[in-house]
Amino acid sequence: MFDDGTCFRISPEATGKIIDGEAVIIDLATGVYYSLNPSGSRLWELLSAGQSREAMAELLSAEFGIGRDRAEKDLDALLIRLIEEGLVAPDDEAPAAPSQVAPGPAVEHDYAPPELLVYHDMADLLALDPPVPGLMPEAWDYPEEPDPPEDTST
Amino acid sequence: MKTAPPRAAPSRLALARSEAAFLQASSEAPAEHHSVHLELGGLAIRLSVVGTTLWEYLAPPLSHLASPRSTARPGLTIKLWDAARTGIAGPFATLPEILPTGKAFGFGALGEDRREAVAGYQTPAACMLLDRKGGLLAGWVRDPHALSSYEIGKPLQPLLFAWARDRDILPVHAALVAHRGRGVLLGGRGGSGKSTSALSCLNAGFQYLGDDYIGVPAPEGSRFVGHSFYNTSWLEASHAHRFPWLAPALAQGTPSRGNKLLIRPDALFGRRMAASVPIHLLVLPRINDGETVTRAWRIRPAEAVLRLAPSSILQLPFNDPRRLLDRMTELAHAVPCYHLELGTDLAGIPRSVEGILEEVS
Repeated sequence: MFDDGTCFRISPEATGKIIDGEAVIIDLATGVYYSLNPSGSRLWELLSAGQSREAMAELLSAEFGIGRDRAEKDLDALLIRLIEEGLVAPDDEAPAAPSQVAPGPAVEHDYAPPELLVYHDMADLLALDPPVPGLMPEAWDYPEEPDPPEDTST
Repeated sequence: MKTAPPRAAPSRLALARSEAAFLQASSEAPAEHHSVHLELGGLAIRLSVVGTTLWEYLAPPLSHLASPRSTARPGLTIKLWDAARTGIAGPFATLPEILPTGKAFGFGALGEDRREAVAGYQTPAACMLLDRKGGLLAGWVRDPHALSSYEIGKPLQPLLFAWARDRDILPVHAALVAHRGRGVLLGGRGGSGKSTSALSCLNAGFQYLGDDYIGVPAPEGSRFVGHSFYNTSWLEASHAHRFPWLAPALAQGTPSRGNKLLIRPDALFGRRMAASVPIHLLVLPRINDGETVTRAWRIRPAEAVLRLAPSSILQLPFNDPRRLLDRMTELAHAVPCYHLELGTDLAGIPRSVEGILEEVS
């Protein structure tokens, strides 16, 4: 599916945080937000650190005590979901970050494959709040004239 | 031939012209010049309005922030005038003339310059600019009677929030009530039951700080404080029959915002309006019309943030998503977090909240 050396970049519109091992991600462009289970959250952390697919599969296998083949299969499944949602994209030009991410502690609970939960309720709410037609319905972006220099003659 | 794109004029010049127009309006109607000193999270604000009708619309939602202390140099000076009453028109017509970037926002538009030095807010009824660093907000209202209930219920909202955010009082989409001085922040998306919970608690004797937006500065140590912006409330018209005691507090003469009614609880419970309280508890309500009894259970900080953060980050303009997410995560770790399943017996809501406060104290 993806080459071992492939790295991924996170959308600049996605803001996320790992909270006690659970990732909360908000897409500022769409209003859709997400959460990830522990294995998925760990992978999000590795993605954010610029790790290659190979490094991520290795860490997933080691930390969650699963075979390398299964780790690769589960990782690819999550990557596809994240790409479908527009949260990440393959970045063939980015060099893989050195493996600076320390392996996480041994996982005490049973492994569950990475799972991305998707919440559309805010996107629905935002869609209910359209601008008044005719005022300024569209964004604008013009060049700006510089402020005149301050008068320092006094 | 390709035409050059319009160029926005310097925004600071527009601000200076707005301030000059305010002075002119004040000289046209000196008897209708009203002022009050306010305090928001320890920051001094001076609100000045020319036009008595406009003053009567805009001042009440902020009246609980009135401060006996006056200062020569407030952190924010607000100067607004009624263009219809004074005959002084605004010095420009639309935001794109003076701010280079902008976007639609609710019933109007927001603009800013690329240095984030000046921000603007315009609706069909009003237009105003904010010098974000200097703390001057100046603008005009075409006709106070044309203001929407949104603008009347939450005056100056986007620019006031931008000013607060720049001073690290981050606006959060939440309600805040307090029992014996202990604050309960009620978070969640629209329709989750924030207003239902806050108004039910108010009726049971709690202090009330707002049901929509609360300012949360960085904690002192692990102690979080919540600051009120507005003392108003919004109620779904279809829910009004559940709050018959609120009928005298319904703001008269203002059109509804969507299907929501503007409520002024201070008309009934003026002494229960508060400006700031320490936050002891984070509660995420959810309406369950299939149950009579309200139930509560503790939830993980991550779940609380997942339900509190998106609506604040996505709905509020001029915010800093990363900083807001960090602040809410820190809050969710500093205080206990509870899910509150709201039953149809509204009297059970404050009992349940009081029970949680006893449990965690």
